[in-house]
Amino acid sequence: MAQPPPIEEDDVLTSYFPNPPPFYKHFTPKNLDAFAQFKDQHNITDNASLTPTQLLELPTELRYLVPPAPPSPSAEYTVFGRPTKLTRLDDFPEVMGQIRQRLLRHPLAGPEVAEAIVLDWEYEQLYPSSSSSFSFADRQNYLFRFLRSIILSYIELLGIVAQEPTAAARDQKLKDILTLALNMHALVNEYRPHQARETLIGETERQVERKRKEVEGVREMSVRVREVLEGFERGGGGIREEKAAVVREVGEEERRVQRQREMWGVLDEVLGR
Amino acid sequence: MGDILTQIQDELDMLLHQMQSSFAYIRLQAPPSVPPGQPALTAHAEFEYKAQVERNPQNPPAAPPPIASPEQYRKDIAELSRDMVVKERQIELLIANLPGLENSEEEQVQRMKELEKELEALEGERLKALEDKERLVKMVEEKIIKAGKVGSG
Repeated sequence: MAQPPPIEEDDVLTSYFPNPPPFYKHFTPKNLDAFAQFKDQHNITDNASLTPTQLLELPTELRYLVPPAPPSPSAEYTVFGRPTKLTRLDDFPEVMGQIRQRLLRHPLAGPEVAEAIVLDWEYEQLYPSSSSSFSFADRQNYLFRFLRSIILSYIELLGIVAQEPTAAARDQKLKDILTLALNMHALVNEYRPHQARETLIGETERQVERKRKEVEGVREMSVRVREVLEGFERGGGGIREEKAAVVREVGEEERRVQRQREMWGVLDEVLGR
Repeated sequence: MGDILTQIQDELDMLLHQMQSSFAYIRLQAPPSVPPGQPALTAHAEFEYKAQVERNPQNPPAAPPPIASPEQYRKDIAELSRDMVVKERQIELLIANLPGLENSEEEQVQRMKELEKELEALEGERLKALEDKERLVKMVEEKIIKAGKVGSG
């Protein structure tokens, strides 16, 4: 795992992006071939990992070609200088607890208002958490429901404060909106791996399509070039015979010019596409 | 395709922000509604201002912006509400266009494996096609050289 360099305050910024890790230079075709050969020699399939002794047998420049094992789910590593874990959503209850504490400590309205609003709010998950029976279409429906509920709650909240601005029902509605909005955020975040996979699939499909077109293009061109060349051969033979007949009548220079013109014509046909 | 999920979250935050600012607008700008036969009271912002001036007569705070006229107020409220409904529609549209709703995770993995195989096969074909192309270019070159010799000979 590449560690980002520690951030120093007085570090002079010379480029916008840090340099790539130095081992990228080892990924040359020569090294890759050598590595594939090494794998063949030791009967290593693509998925099996190398044993430490095998790893030590490798020349230094090839060791970088062995991908490191993925971090264990509980191991911490740094991303953008912040420690993080593979399963990020696990600390969701923690974050919700922090929000609750903040709401308790800091009243919603500013200090100049005589009666500040303190919300005794607690997060509540409003959608089923088992992922097996909870399809992605269901998630979409839940998102729709939460969104419409937020709008409805807002209208209700308007009605409540119009009638009685300090009613307890107002606080309840505020809490409801907060819960609904955070549920939406949580749902959306749980959707992220799914979208990442979907994006990857879409990108691969585009790549397949592009390569297919390239292959087809080369094939079409090869057929055309062959046709042109065959035609040229036949035509060229004819011209040669003709030329023999008229060779004494046409001047040397004129014949050369004519020959070149034909050449250009054929070239245009081949390269002009 | 773009990142729909982040868009949903951004727009949702925006919607909540709109709700908050609508409340703030109503609170500060609502014109007083006067029951018939009663003297008009000041609007909230004006009242706050006067209270502050009384508390601190030496250096009074800056005068609040003038209260919107009832017509203007109604227009503004209509606009704020319209914006909010538009925002809600936007989010619904985004949710409706979430990618891969009909696929389960297993189906996705399956499809990814298929595509990988297809891609590898195509890569082989492509390399062959490239070789073909090279050969053709050489053929054409030879013809040109031959033709040039005939032409000049």
